[in-house]
Amino acid sequence: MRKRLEKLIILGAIYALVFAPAALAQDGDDETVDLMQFIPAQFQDQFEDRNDDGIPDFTGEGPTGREGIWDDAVGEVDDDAFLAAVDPEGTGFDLGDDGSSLTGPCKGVVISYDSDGTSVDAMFDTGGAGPPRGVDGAQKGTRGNPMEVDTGGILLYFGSSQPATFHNHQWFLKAQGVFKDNGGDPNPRDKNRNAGSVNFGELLPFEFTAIVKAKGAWVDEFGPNELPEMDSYPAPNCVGEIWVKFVGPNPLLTPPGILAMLLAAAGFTGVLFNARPALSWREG
Amino acid sequence: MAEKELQRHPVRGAIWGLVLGLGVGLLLMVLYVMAASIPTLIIFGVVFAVLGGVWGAFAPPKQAGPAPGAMATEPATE
Repeated sequence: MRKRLEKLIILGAIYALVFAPAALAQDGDDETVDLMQFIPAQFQDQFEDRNDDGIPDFTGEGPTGREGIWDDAVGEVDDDAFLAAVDPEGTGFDLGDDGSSLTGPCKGVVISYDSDGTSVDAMFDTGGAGPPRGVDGAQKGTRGNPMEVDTGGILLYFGSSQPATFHNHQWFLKAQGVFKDNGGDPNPRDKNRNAGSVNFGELLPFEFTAIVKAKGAWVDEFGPNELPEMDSYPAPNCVGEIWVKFVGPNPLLTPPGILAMLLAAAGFTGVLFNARPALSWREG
Repeated sequence: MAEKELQRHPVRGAIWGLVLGLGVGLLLMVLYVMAASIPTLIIFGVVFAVLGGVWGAFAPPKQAGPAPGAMATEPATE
């Protein structure tokens, strides 16, 4: 009788440790946000959730974003202009702020994929003053819950400013030390939504891992001049700031990781064996 | 007569400290411990260079080997 009781207790403990959390996690999965609501109907047949993470995986060619006539093309072809634009000194990024934000009427979804089209992470916003959220409904883009982007993969976005329509608008988007782009458009055809993709696997010379802060702004009726960074932007506008985690292979096997290990090993060896004071003999 | 002399290496220490600081800083960034940031990397390099310089100047010294000519003056043993 006592042995049976012990077995029951052990079985109960195993159930509590293994199956109950899994069941609870399953309950949580039921509350995931359906991201297909943000994807226009003409693209929906290119998406299917193959890995059951609640994020639609990607099977097609993806959308091609439409450029505005004021979009910056210089930074895309001129390395110096690009490096100057990505803010190498890091000014303007508040690394002490761990939060995320996206204000204004902008709404939509951003989904990152690996090179096989399997979803890595996603973030959406429904407009208004609230921050962007992940597929589980939690605040996304914070230091603790950053938007993960595969540096060997692709990023898709579907966004809109509905019900507002911006004209003579300017925008910029930058990730500290990694990426910067800006542009604008008079928008004579009253467009208020766009979609596109960024293929990091083709754009980047090598994969890397890092966590960086990214921010952007989009301002209505700003005119043809490039939008500078401002403490507050003329309304109506959309302004956002998030943390982005660039993921990929083992960090120590990426070129920056290998360089870091070599520098650290060389420096450590040099400090220990080549820089220490030494007693030597001198003929008096 | 030979005398012991202490040789300090603050410049070498600073240079190797700078290399070590850049490596450690970059390593912490690729491992997501710190946000990737050039100013932070520079701060790491400078701080480690200073520490390396202090190490090169004031660390416990390596002991000298046998005095020159000491082997020759020792009596031969059979």
